[in-house]
Amino acid sequence: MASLLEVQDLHAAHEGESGRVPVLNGVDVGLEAGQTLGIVGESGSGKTVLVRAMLGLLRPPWRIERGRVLFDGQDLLAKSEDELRLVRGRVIALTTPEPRKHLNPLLRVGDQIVNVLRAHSDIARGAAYARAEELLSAVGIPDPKRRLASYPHELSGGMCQRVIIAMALAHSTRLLLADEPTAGLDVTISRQILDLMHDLVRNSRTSLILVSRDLGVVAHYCERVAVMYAGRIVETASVPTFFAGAAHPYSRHLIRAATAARDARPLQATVAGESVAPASAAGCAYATRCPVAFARCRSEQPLLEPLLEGHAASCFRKAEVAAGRIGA
Amino acid sequence: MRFLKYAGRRLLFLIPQLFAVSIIVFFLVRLLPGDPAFLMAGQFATKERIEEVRSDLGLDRPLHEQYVIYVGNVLQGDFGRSWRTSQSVLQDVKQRLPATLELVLSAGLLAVALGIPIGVYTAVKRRGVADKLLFGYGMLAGSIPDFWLGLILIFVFFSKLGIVPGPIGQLDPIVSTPPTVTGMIVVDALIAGEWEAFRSALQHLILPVATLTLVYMTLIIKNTRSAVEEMMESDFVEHGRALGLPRRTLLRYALRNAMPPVITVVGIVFWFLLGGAVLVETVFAWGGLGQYAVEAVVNSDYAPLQAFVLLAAVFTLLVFLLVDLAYFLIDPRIRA
Amino acid sequence: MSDPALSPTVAALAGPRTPPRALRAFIGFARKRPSFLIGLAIVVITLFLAVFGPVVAPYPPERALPGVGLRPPSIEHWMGTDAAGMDIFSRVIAAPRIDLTIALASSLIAFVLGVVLGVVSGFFAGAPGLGRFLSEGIMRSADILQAFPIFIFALALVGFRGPGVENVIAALAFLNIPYFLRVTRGSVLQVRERPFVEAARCAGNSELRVAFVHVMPNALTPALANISPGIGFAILLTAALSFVGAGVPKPTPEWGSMISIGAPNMMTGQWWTAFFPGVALGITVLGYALVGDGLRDYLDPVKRS
Repeated sequence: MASLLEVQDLHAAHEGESGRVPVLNGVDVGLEAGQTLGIVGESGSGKTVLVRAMLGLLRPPWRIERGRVLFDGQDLLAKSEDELRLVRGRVIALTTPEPRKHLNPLLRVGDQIVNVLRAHSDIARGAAYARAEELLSAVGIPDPKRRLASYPHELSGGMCQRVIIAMALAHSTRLLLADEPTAGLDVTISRQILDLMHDLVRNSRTSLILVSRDLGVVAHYCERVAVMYAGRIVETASVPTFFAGAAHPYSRHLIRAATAARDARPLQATVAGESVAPASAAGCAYATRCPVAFARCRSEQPLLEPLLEGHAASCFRKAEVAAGRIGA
Repeated sequence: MRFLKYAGRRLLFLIPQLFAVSIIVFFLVRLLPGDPAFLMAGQFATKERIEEVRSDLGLDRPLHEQYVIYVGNVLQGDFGRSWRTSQSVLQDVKQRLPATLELVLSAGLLAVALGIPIGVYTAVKRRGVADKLLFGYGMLAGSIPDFWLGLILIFVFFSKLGIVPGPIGQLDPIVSTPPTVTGMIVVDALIAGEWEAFRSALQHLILPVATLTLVYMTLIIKNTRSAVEEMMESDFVEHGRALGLPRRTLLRYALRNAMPPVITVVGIVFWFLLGGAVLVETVFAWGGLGQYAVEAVVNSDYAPLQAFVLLAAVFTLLVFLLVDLAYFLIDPRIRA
Repeated sequence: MSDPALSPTVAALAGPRTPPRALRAFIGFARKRPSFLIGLAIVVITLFLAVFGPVVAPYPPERALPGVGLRPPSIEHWMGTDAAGMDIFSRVIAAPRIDLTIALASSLIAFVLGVVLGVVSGFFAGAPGLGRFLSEGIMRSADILQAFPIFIFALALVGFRGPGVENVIAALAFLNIPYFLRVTRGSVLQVRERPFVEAARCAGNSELRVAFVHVMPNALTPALANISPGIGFAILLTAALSFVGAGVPKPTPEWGSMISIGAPNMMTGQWWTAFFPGVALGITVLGYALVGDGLRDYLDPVKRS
């Protein structure tokens, strides 16, 4: 299968009054057509910035400094805003972690969906409203005809997210970027939303990148997983391979934390050190928290290199970690 | 239907506001040292007149009864008499109100018609030179007194260039006033088809309106610009961009959502215009309520002054009411 | 998207803000903003003229000189003379004394009263009992005062009390209170949520003490930033009142009344009589506004972080 999306060495930074803060430090990740990829990382690892960068949406003070985003072989970052407009919402679509904030508060939901429909096709208004009603029904909103006339503030958080998903799937997109679609939603609704998204994507053969803080979610709904830490992808693997033998100490930590939470056990090995800070010094960013770091880790940056076919990690000791001999 | 319900409730809320305002105005006169009856009747009043005023206002009764009498009078249209014009204040007001309205409404509408497009343009374009010019203009307009600007304009365009008539009121003295329909000469001349009066009135209107507009338009420009800018960077517009909505649609989104704060500013500008009108009328001998009020102050004619302050407050409350109603129509969240 | 450099936890734990390392930081800031420096220069000049103006004036500001009526600007009279033969330049530089006296006095009174009322109104907002009644009462009163356009109400106040400097000061002070009240109240509503306020309460301080000793000093920023523009506005109002004859009485040099004296001359072509006082007014108010802008940006913690 041809590679659908390939992000190469993406660097991005935030330039504010306090100086330059690196946010993406060389992201390498990709997926093939028809695949589902989950990107896992803590808050501050740069997940949302990555997703927005892929569509060329970053605006000052955020800036892309280096790298390429190849979609179907073409670099999206080299395209003009007008060219990108033809891609966004039509070929690649986006959802957001805060659905209500991203809907126009003064416009009816139906009108907003129709605007997205008419932005990329010549559909007549009447037909557009009919299609909008279909979309609302497809995302599981009851009484869709009446809901077309609702305003965002009249909808619950879950329903707003469904509307966002409807807007993302209005056109037959080839890739859906789902940025933390269940943030702020309670467990039952989250489950429904994820199931919905999964079904829709499978039925329409859309590829999916699911960004989440929850490893369990990624494990359940995705074929492949990519772990993000401090603005870099530190490991990519298929989900079975990942859980059988993750090759990066941070991945191991995430797995431990996820299983401890699931089993409601207290987490045995606590990791010392601060929360994620974008790497500015040389060396592996995880070195300060890593239980198996040695001298080389602090002075040299490990690259994301394949361990096996389809399994890559950026760790000097990846083979040992994967085999479970250390850092387990 | 819901709008009517909201409008009804909002109008109801107007009533305590009107009462509060009337209480303040009522007490204004009591600020004066001395016998209110004598002061209201004027310096040249006869003894009988003073006693007449005293009984009219119920000045020998306790304070709260005086207030009731005052409100009763006002509701019947009795604002007292001006000892200068020897007419009832109501009559004076009726003669002069249209002139002030014409001035305030013209200047306000012009400020909105020019200010909003300019504000939107600078928010969308953000080019360096226009920005700096506008900033300079804004700072200047906020610093210079409107009455002084009026004089400068008179000097440049009348004394030196002679392209507008002098500041002697609303019409050339040789042109006859058109039959009164609204009292606003420009409108009346238009209705009556009297083109000479129409032209003359329009010419006389130019400078005073220009003065007011130049000074107060900057408020609209600044606030429109910041509101539109803020909306263009809002989350939902960004998401629209992420979904590939055309620039025109995004701009429409931004403009629509920027309307509420802009409407508030327009209301505030009318609030300012009322004060500015007083000064501009004085400079241009406009013959409106503002000039009337100033003459009242200078000549210690208190009944007109009291009426004027009350009317100004009522006008403001009505403007704020309209702003609230507009908000209701625009922002669905308020209807919830 | 939130700024990655800003940690919400750290911000929440912040105690009362320590005053900036005053002089050096201030000079560094000022040097980068020419508009602020210009404004500062103007303010300093006007203050100087307020004290020394009438003394350094080449001609006595209130004495009409015979035979020199309506002279255009010349070497003897830099700004010309008015109809009564008074040297305009001398009067222009003598005017700040009265204008600034009125503006400073009224702004100071409005500031003090506005801040106190703002603290009470903000601190006790929503609290049970008497406090809430006070808070609501203050806000409703400020709201209803807003129904009167400021100049018109000033005109009425002076009209009903009589002209004269004290009445103008009192009227302007009264009318500017709501402005300081509102910004202080807004600030207090935020400051009172900070943890150190709760700590002060737990330490046993009475509510009033917490309000005025702990909360108020940290809520002063917006009011302080608005003093300078407030002064500029007061100067404009004073000039407007004097222009219509309801402010400073005639012979005293005051920019607004000078404009009114010179107004008839404008139309007959002797522009200098009303022109220069207006320019002086504009420059002065602009100066105070620029200082106000600069101070507001300087004191705004978000911008400086």
